[in-house]
Amino acid sequence: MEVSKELNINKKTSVFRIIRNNYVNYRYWRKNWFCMNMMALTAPKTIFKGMFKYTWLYDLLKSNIMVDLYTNKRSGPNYDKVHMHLSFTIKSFSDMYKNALKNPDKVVIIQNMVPPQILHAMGLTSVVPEVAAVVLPKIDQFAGVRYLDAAESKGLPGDTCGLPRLTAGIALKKEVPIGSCIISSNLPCDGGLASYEVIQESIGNIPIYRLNVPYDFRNDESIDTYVEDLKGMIEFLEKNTDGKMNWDKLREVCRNYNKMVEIELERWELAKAEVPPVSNDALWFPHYFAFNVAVANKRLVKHHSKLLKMDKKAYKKGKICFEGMRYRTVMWNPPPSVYGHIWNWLERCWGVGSVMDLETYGVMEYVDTSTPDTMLKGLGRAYMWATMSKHTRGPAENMIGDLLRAVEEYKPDFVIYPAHMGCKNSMSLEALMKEECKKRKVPFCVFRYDLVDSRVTTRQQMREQINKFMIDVMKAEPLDSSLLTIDDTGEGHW
Amino acid sequence: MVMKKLKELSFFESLLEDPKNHLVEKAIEQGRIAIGYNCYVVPEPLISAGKVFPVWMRAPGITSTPQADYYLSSVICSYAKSILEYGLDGEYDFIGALIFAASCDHIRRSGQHFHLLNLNDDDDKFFTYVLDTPHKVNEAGIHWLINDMKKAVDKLNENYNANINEDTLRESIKELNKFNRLMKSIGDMRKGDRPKITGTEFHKVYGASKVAPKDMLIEPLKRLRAELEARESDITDETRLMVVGPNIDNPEFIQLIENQNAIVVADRFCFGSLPGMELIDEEGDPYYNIVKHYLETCQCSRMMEKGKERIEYCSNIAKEYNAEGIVFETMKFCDLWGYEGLTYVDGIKAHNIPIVRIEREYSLTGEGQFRTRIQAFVESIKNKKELSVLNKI
Repeated sequence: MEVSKELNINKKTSVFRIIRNNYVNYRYWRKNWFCMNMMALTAPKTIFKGMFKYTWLYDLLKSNIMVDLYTNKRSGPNYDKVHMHLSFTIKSFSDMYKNALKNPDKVVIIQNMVPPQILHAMGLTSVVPEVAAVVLPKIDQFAGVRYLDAAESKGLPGDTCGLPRLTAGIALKKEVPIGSCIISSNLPCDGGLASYEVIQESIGNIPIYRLNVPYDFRNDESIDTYVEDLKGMIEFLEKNTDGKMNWDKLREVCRNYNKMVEIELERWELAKAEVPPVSNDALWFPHYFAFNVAVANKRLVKHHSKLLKMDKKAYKKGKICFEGMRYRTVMWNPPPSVYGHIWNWLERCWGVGSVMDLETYGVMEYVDTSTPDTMLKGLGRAYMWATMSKHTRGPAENMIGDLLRAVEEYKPDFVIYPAHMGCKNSMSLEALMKEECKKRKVPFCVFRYDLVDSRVTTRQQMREQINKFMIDVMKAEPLDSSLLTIDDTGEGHW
Repeated sequence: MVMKKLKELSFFESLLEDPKNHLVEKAIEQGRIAIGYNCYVVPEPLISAGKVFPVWMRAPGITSTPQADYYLSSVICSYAKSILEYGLDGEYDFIGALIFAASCDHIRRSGQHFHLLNLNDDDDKFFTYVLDTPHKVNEAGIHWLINDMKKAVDKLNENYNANINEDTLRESIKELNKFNRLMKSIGDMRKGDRPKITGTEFHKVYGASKVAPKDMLIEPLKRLRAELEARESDITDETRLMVVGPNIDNPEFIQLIENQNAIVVADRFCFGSLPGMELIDEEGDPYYNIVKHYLETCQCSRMMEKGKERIEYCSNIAKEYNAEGIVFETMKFCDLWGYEGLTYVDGIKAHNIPIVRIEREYSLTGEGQFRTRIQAFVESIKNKKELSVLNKI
């Protein structure tokens, strides 16, 4: 289905658009710098000292370069939403690190996929080491190399998933902010599970609590078991930190979480529209941030409400998410962190919009806020059923079944499967997913990459794999043939 | 090191040649059901009770895995791929069920493919079951696993009328304890200054016990022990080594190490005997005893709270068996053991135990490199030993 076949972009609109977009760009550029400067100004000594200790803080200062890469020459509602969300993320991260450096006693190091809501309700600040590993390569494709090298020179095989490998590297270089204790889990995969042994040792063997999520979490017994484990975690935190559980505060967080679920479900519905008002990172990034990293507070709800409002406005006007959208796809694996702005290229080179993706698609359920137990159960379910745990840890049917459901619901022209070579869980299902899509006559585009290391597969090598598929299988013509080959093997800005 | 060949050994060697060995055939003829498994945390007493018996999944002699490469990709550990390849080739058509644990990402996906690809589908009763073994030891986890084990037992009873109940489980624990006492009396022969059994020989004997019904091995094992007791040891100045890591079920690996003027005296790897020969509590609830035993004794890197315990365990074993160095072998693409190396190697060095880390594949490829690394390691231990003697003079 070629959704924007009829689209005509006249030149006057283009000129107006360029001026408008430049203004939007400038506005966010200024805002982002303001946030980063405020982080430094509110705690100048701490941040100054921190920069010597945590060298990745320098890379975070380059955030506006990342914003440029994500937004450069893009169009339509996606352009504004991506700008707005990146700015929101920059502010949130600035606040998170500022709080962590200012109040180290309140900091608890938590693994990605440990519910931060509980810590928030206890008056604690959480720092997720994996966030740096996700963000650094997005800002600068080589920013993570020194950490990867540190892990590999210590003997960690280069074929393990780059995310925990990079995180372990940060820990080995003693650059994880010190906290009072650690909470980790067996999610999302063996790499994530195993990396916390070295993280704990590298930051001085502080106390650690390990959550165990059952393998098959599709029944009530497994949730009850996990809730017991969460209670054990609360007990551990009360013993090892100054935090005290405040159930009313947790109720407030859960109510906000429920609002987020409502917003998210509406956005998913809108993405199903024949002329989708939202796609690609305008859909993926807000979900990833809200449901993996952030605590649902009023600010987050307000931000997402704004995004939804923009989606609805575009939908009512029949405005497509970006100009020139020709193909709708479902992206069924994480997009490469080293090429975080691949969405930009997909839009401008081939007119491809991902209306659903693996990291977004999951189970969105409301948390019952009536009792402490129901809240823990609801949050427990949310994290057990979150994307990475559901698809990488559970039975194979989760990943294959969800893909087929997404194909059924979102009716993509093809599925794009970024084959992350370090992810054993998804790589070992590639063949079966391909076969199932073939049965349904849905083309399956595979491109191989390493999540955080562009020395393994360069961005151009990724693009070439997609180009080949688009030309040979989809028989497509590029929207802009100058984008077929781009020299960005250096830190080039395109 | 050339020890006089043991007469009884060929019996055990023959059991390792083919997954469907003569004892497996005999047991199936008797109406017993073979259950495939591939991890220490699938409790042997559970699949040794009533009419069923365990068969450790191996792929002896495999050289390539083209079909499994297609389904599991090239980045999955070669053990997980090899057993799937054998499954696809029909080598495991004789098993009545495959019970595997959610041990690691690789084993899970490999086991899931037996189900997804409808292997052994001709047999209506065949099924696969994933035991949800927790990654940590606590009461909640123990009860969780007990319930899960009961579901697997129900399925075995339902499909095969396997007669697994608390009484037969108790009996199974007793039988296994009896067997392990006998096995340990042989394994302990590695501790002395002049071991009467080599690492390769022991590995063959112990390995055979994993691929055939244990009750059929007791008499041959007794005869072997008698032969060993009467045996003269030729071992003099061989360097005593311990091997640590994931699955090794091919005795040729141990043979290769021992060919470098070394003797493997302790084996902490999957398919090895440490842990493996400890006794299970015979009193009380058999389910509880089994689960507690396997979770507590498991020394695999999948257990996320036991990193430091594993280092202590190995250093104690090294002392007990008088090992002079540790060969830390990891399987290519194995995430768990790959990460383990980051803390384990330094931890062992802190105990003043020499250690070498070697990455390998499931089948014996890269033999030359493996040999060279071991040679160099053995020489370095010997040199240090000689140097310390000279220093004393």
